[in-house]
Amino acid sequence: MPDSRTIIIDPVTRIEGHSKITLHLDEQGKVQDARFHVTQFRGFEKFTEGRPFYEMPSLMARICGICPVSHLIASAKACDALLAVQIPPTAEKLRRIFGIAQVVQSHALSLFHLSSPDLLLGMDADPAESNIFGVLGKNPALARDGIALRKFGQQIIERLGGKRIHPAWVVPGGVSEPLSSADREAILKTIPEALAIAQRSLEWLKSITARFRKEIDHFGNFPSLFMGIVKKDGGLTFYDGKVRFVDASGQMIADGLDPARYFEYLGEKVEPWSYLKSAYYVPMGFHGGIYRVGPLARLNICDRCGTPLADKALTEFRQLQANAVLSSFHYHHARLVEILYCVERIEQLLNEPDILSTHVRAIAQPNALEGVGMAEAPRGTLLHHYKIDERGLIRWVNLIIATGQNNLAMNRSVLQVAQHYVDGEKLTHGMLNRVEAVIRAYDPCLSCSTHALGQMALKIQLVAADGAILDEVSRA
Amino acid sequence: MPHRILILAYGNPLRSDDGFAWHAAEMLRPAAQNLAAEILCEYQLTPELAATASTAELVIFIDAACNGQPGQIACTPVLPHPEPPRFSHQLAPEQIIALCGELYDAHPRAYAISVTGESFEHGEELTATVRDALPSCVSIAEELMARCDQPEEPASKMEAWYVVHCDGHEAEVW
Repeated sequence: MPDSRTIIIDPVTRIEGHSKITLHLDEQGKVQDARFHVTQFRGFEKFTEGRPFYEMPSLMARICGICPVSHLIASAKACDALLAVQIPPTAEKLRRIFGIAQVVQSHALSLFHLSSPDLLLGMDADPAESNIFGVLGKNPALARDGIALRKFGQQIIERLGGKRIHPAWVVPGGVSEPLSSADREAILKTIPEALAIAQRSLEWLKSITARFRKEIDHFGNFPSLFMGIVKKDGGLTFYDGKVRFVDASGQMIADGLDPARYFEYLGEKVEPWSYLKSAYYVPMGFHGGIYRVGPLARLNICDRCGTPLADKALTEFRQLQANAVLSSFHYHHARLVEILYCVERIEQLLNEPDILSTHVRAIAQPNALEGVGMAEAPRGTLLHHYKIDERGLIRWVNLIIATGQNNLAMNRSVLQVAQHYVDGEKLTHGMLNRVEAVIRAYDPCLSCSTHALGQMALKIQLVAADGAILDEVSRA
Repeated sequence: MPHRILILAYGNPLRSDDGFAWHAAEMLRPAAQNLAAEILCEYQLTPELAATASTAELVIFIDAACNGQPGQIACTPVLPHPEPPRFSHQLAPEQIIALCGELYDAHPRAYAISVTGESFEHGEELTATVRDALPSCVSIAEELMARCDQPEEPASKMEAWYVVHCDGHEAEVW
């Protein structure tokens, strides 16, 4: 119930899914509160009940057309736990390549297709020009690079998984087919161009960052925790590891946490105004336990990337702010560092001596009635938790999605942007775009987090103390 | 190795008639193989498809349409039109062709073949009306492929190539 006046943005544009934003004003017309409402509905946990567990990876991949590979991997890992098997080393390496190829294509989509109009044309640009055609008019080379990088990731997914969207190649116990020598060579040939694009894109972003000093200061620039998985040596990983939390000063507050015991440290709260749950770090409570996941968090929690160019880029990244990098504006920069890492890492993995091994799947019957799979999706930590009966039929499912884990941070970021840029009862394009842009920085995937049909859109409403809608802007 | 002809069949094969293009693509595979044409089945048209389309001389888009009488086939030339996309990463054929020109200085000849769907509900089967339109659609695509080497039609004839009505009656509209 609005206690003053409220601005509603509905739909939010250039994100994955459907949402709206309400900005609540006080009697003086200053923004008092902000809410990011996700208006889609999810049903995957429920309608998969009763299905055989081995169907889960393929079913779960259907949650999202952008990051089906992440769901495949997290789901297959949960199924590996049900089988209680150690998958063949080559299968694990192939899954890793598969996963980070998707990170490249998803990050490229987020940065080049969705956010580059803001970065290239400015936050006050005409919304009609803030799209890929606007980008190519201003910087066609950048548009070409974005397309090429996304294609690079998609072609790897297609070569490994047989198709770019909803591949079913990752299965419980490993992968269904080994890598062919021809595909290995074909992918290796594309590495130099992808590396060159990643490097020049990073240089481009660094060259324009100074223009956004104000946005950096107000785009989700606040203290929070950061969470993700890291390797045993603290290195960046997308596939497997233990959970680490780092605070705003960069200090590690928890490390080596078991993903299978997530319920001991991750809580989720349901708000009546959104289908998207809000996750928090249990030991610090709902209000103090706000944390961020995804590229910014991963680079804040890891000790190193583990590849030469990405490690150099990580050193530069950490100079953006003292201690942890807090501004969510820097998600964009973090994405490019991760793209660099992924391309380098794909090359490393393809050169592993056993990468062409044909032993890529462990066969077993279920040996456990409960399994958890955790991996790093492009947008952050992804968790699948299944319980089955003695016949191997799914009895209970829980999914914790990156976007839900960033929900509290996205709400606080919208509030911060609105408090800085919104004043009065009328909405301007620049103000609206900044509110949207801070959400885009997180690259939320609402179809993932709530699993609904339909397209994303955004609406902003301005609501008065008595509940009257003063202004409303919609984009479909 | 770039192909001279690219067939972009797009739609959702889990939404009944929306998957029309995927069915048509399967029927086109023998002809495509003979002509060294590449067939891509997609859920939607995304910007990176412009990179592939830019290497072709002829691009044929196949899709299901919402407007018109169920089963009606339309074949229209696709001209570049760089208007903003309706959705962030989902483009129209005209936008793909515009990207070919603006990003890669490539100007493939392009046509869009569409069939008006009757049902877009969940399901993998086509309705009978739309299934009946498959042979005509495939014939049109095969004819376009066969004419790949012929000179382009004059601009005055680029409004709509021809329409096959749902009763099977074919009517050229130029």
